[in-house]
Amino acid sequence: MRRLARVALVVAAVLLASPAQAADRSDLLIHHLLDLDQQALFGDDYTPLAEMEAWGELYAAAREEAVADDSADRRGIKTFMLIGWIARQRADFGTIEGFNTDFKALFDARPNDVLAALADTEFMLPEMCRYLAGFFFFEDADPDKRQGFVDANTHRMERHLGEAGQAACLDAFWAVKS
Amino acid sequence: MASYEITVRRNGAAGKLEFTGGGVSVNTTCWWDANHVIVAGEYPSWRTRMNSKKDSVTKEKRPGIWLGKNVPYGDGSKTSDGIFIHEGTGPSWSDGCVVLKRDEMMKMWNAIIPDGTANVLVKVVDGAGA
Repeated sequence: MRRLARVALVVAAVLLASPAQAADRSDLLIHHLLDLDQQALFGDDYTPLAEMEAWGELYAAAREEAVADDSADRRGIKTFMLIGWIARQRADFGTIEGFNTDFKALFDARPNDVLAALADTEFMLPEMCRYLAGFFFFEDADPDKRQGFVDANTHRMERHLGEAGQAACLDAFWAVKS
Repeated sequence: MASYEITVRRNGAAGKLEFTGGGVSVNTTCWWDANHVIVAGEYPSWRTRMNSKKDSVTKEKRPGIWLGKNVPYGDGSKTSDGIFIHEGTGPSWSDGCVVLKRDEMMKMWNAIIPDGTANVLVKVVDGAGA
């Protein structure tokens, strides 16, 4: 329950890209996370396909905003990570497959910002580190490159996450075997 | 009643995807993630595109067949709203979706008209003779 409260606070805090967007995004995220009936969000326009497409559009927009995020609290990065976290909780395999690749790309482009965002949102740390490991087993990636990735980033993991956070991340990372 | 049918015949670690429609026939190897196996059954599905992945050739949104909401997997106690059929070259391209080589995927996808409606029935069956 405490974990879910932290999730809810993150959702409430980071989605204020603009007032008009905030309500839609918050609604979609909460409804998707909690598997709530979304018909009321769409009114007469509801179809299961519309629901799926709205989630996909949210994902795509959040991905772009994360890449360009220059906010003081890294809300764009945090929002994108939250979507990946929700996808895992909800077994949303299509989103998970996209996040496998996109989160690694974001990390490679902005490792310090991603780690700083993770330091603020500890509940997502294990899952995000599992995603980073999962990248190396996905599509045509090479699992043998995991050690090189860890070696290149372990110092900044400790700087941003602290020893305990670094250890938790690496435990989650190396637990991924496929 | 669906206008098109896609049959995924599973036999061990891989399977065959069969489709006939719009003057096109597809009978090709398909793969999936062994940790997230769809429960055998019939699923009304939609021709669509995925916002989360890009087509490996055109870089547009990846063409896919969406199996709809609440698709059971594993022992059937859990469901997913995010299972697609899409391009891939082996099981490593899947974290729960069904994948097949792009050429065959596009042959099938282009033959399904129109999109935006659940006019595809995806049948998932187990066993070589199923």
